[in-house]
Amino acid sequence: MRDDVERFLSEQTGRSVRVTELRQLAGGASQEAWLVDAIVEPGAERLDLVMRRDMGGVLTFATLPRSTEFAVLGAAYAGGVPVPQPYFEPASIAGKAAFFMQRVAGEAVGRRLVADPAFAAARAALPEALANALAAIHRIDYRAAGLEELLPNPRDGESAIARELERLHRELDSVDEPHPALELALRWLVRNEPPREAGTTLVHGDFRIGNVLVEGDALAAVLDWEFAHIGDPDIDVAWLCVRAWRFGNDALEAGGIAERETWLRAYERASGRSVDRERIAYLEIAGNVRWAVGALMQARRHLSGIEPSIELASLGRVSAEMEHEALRLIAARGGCA
Amino acid sequence: MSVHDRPTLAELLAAVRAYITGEVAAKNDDRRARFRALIAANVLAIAERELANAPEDARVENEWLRALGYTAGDAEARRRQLASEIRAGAYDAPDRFALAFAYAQEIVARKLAVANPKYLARG
Repeated sequence: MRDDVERFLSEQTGRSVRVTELRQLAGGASQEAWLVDAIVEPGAERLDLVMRRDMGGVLTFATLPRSTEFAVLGAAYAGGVPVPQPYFEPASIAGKAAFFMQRVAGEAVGRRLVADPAFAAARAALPEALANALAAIHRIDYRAAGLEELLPNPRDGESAIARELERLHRELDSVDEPHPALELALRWLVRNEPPREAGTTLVHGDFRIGNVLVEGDALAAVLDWEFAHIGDPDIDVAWLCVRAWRFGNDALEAGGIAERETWLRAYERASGRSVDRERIAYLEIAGNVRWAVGALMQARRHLSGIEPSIELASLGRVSAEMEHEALRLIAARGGCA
Repeated sequence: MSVHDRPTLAELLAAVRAYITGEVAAKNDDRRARFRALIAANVLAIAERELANAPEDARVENEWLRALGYTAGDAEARRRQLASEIRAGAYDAPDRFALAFAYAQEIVARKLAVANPKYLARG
């Protein structure tokens, strides 16, 4: 691993690079993240990097290859979104796809961000900061950035939501285990699809607490772009409200840090686009189904032997939490209507 | 009664869980390793609860599947039939949907009682 990193960084810089520290960072059920410290000679210039690298198996059918994630990150950086600057070009490190990016300081652990008194001021500032970042993502001219050909796109005449539901059915089928509760929720979603949103945008695809870095009182970076696609921006707006991303702080429905309305109004101000609350409520249910299916798929990476991990195995039993939440939300909206 | 001597299966799981929590996790300085040890302890707690609830869970699901009209085959086969019929629209009528919905709520509550009873208590 170290030799490969040194070889790649030497090629890219055209100088001699010595890696002084290389260790895997905590977190990241889907991708590895490595801290990389290196010295570039001559000149003893320091490189403080993070390497993102594939693990075994894909997370879901929507997972982008690392090289595409690298391109999206570049477009976001150019579009003024707070992200780590991607460096060099996509790499292959010890046989797996990887890329390097700037190391940004900050806290990403959801439980700490929603509960630790040290982040009280950050929690007050985050709705607006997150709204500005998300609006900046949705404003990116994805065609001009060359992302239209790289990213999943709705087919002609197909709504972004219909495409999402179709993918969820396929993913659930891949798990090959009957889930009547998820089938009921999916059936409800199919029969209650809201009117489509006029415009499609770049969608981050996993915009939530746990995937952002907070430093001091400020949003330092939006991470984890592997589910980026072209589609319905309300999917991002609603995803932050999914209960799992409240990290136990259930009362604050927007990521455990703010009231739902506070978040939605902040996003409306930042984007200049009004948000239909009914669509958000619908997409929150879809989001619960998506993470329920995602957790089942994560467990399959362990069960198949591709990525043996007690953490992945345990996710198979987390799925019931999202099933419960999806049923609760459907019941609250009149159930069988 | 099991042909095996004590500790019982439940007692064996509890002993391993106590060891992981008290020794492996508590005395490990590596954050990632400690995190994984605590997950392992939680997984054992799930296994202990499943062992305790399994007979009643199976009985209740069997009753529900019968009430929904699925009598042939094992629980998995009948669950599979229900799942595919829901997707095909056979439960779209409001009274049918309500019935399948009540089954799903009951089963999901039982899954959560094993997987994460604290989540269930939060509502």
